[in-house]
Amino acid sequence: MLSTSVLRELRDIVGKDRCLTAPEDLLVYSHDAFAEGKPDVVVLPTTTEEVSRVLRVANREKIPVTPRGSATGLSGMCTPARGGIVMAMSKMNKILEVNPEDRLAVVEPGVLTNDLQTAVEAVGVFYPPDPASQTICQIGGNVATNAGGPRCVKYGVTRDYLLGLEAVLPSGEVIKTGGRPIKNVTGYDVTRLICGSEGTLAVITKIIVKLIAKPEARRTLLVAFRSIDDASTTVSRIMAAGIVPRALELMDQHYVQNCERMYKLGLPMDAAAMLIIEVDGFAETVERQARMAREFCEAQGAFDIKLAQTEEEAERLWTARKIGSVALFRVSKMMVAEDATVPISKIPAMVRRIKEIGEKYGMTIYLLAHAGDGNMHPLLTYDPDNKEEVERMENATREIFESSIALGGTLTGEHGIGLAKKPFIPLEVSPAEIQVWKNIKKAFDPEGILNPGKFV
Amino acid sequence: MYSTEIMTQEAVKCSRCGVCAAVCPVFRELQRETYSSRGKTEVAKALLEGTLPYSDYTEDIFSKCLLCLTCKANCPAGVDQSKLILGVRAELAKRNGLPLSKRVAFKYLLKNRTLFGKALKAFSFLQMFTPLKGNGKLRHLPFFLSAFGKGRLIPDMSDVPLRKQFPEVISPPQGPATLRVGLFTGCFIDFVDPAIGRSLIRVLGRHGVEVVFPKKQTCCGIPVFMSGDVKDGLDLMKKNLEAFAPYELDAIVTACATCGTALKESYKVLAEGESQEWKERVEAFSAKVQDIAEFLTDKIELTKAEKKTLVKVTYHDPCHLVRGQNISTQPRAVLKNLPGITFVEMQDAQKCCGGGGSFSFYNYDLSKRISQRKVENIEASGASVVATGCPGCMLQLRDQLGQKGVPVEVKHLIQLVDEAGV
Repeated sequence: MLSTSVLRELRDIVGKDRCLTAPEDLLVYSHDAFAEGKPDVVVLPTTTEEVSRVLRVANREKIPVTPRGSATGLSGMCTPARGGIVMAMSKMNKILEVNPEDRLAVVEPGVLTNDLQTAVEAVGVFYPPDPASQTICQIGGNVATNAGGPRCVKYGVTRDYLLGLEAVLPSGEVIKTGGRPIKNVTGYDVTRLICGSEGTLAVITKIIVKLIAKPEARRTLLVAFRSIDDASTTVSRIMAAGIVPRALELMDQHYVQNCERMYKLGLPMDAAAMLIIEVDGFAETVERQARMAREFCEAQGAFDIKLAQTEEEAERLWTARKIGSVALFRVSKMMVAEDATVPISKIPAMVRRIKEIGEKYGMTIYLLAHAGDGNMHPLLTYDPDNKEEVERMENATREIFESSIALGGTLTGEHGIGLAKKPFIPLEVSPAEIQVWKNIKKAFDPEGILNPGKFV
Repeated sequence: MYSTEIMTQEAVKCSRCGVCAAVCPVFRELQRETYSSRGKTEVAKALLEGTLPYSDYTEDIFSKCLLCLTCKANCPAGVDQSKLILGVRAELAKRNGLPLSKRVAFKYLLKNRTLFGKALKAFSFLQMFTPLKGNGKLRHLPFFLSAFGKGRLIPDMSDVPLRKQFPEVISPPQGPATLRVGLFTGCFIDFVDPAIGRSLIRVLGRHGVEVVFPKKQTCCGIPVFMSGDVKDGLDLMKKNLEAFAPYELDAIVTACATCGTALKESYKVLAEGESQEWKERVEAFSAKVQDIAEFLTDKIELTKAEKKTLVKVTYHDPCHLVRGQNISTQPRAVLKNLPGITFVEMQDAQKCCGGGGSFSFYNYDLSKRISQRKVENIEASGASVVATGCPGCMLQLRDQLGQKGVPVEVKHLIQLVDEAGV
């Protein structure tokens, strides 16, 4: 519980309407899509100054502060582990500048990723990272978690599209990192240190994103295989064959059937696995790229290849891929999406391992993957009120992590550590590395107030 | 209105993915999670579990919903948030009762059609003292009537309600009747803008349809039970079924999207707790109800006249048609074939106008903010007329377009069909 004097101070800074303490407010701000943790108060700042003043109070009183975007995170990154203040950035949602000549945009952290993309595409430029939740998530959250997405296989992740930040340190001090030039090596790269820090180092209040030219056209192919091995082998070999898709997604039979039931796109229910392959570029080259991709897949044993005929068709397909996982909540009480990631050459082995683990525990593991990155998304369904199912899910999850590490991979390619993967960190990282993290954390946050109880 | 079991069934499906919040017009403006559809689902879950008590804030939270159904339409897990909203409102009404203005309106005015008509006439008489604005169709409410005012432009009410302009049975002007339909008008078309009703009767008459206009019909009840007053809603429902019972009809036609949704869908939900006899009567009644747009495309052959491009018309999808009854292609099909107009699609035609029926009366500032995007989209479309299928939307659009001085006329689809002479 916070003292009345502290609450008064916070109310003075952001006003009564943006300083929430009602039980209903605390409830709704305690969740993300995975975990929950109740805050003592929620503040909704609208300016960098308000952020700075709140942090100054929190730092002085040693009150935990957890920054929050749209809370679409899948591992409990923005859920407070130790109560305190949830700082919701939703009201800092202005697009301040879109500059095609300088190839940058300046945005506040609460701007929805899709809104940024719509705004820049209207003037012929492009912001590639496309997390599945892009219509809901905020760009500030994307930066704090280094969000990925299907297009990252060709274009790179959020980290690769940051020119600079304005951020507030836990002390309340405002810093600027990076800047407007495309190339900049002055000092340490604090921008990229904050990116992916899961709200443990600073609160992001402004973002300078890098933009590229908007591709003229795209072609989307849907490829069906009779064996999941053929599909994963295709993935690991396709780029060596000179084809650089802008998206290369894998869906196993379980997932395809689930999608078809919900979206009725005419997907083949008998395919053991399907790939979505998307190519982009000038209108002349996309046809050639699509043809090359088609021929390659045929040679690898694909039995059905369809090209999306219209923009609407392609969009529907992507909606099914991106939001379809949530449809699993129609058939199961709970679903957890893991994202163990392995090197490309190890994709077939990892896919096989996931299937083996499913069989071993008698579970249906739905498999999605940003296959082109080796980023697996095994989806595990279970009943949280059934002790056996929970235990089964936990064991399967542990084996998935162990398999990934054994193949030279990582615990998480995108979803972050949050609370979900905290216990497994020692599988991947040595004590010496963890000490480096702690030193960095201490340098930014000596009082340890920002999002405590998470990976560092 | 919905049992705890049904509400719980919906609430547990929620995965907190947030798609609903992203499309919620109220959340877009207020940016407070508690007011978003995702937040409301969370609160409803806790109310059902008993981990959160009902409070004044609960009432505030659940009143800030347009019931535009955009959350439900986009939810991948298939949650029907409207059941949670209406369920909580019913529980709140049971516990706290309704505000005085609503109590008076629901218990007395709406049930007694003549009294309602007289009250509206009195209100209409008071209009004399308010200055006329715009194109003679709207009046500016002075500050002292600001419970309904806040600068709101209100429609100029008709002197004679539709029910007084026509007999109980209206035969087609020429030839024998090929079809016989009942007309459900709803309050707006009866009292405020009967011209819509006249257009509908004329168009149907041109095509050999006999129109039965039962005078015992009353308010469809939506503002009543959507505020949580299930008991009075049931009374209104039964009154309406009784009014149409004496007639053999091929269909029951309405030109109000909201009334249509009430008659087709909500009545079946209301009847759940009633006797088997009532359940069957409602089933049979609801099955006959058709919105005029679907009636025109299904049952009428509109005359194909030569196209002469004169007026640019765009179409606004009422929430209760596009998401409530799955009707969006039919109105466009009708408009595209009318001579004398060019149809242009506006951006985000399917997004809520921000009216939400009584929502705009009790949350006028928020309603106005939500409608700004719609006003911009209508202006950007280049149309000089915006057609729609809901008098509630017409009220909102006329107000907001009028206040911004945007010279776009708001018409009901059926009025355009009437004017085209097809």
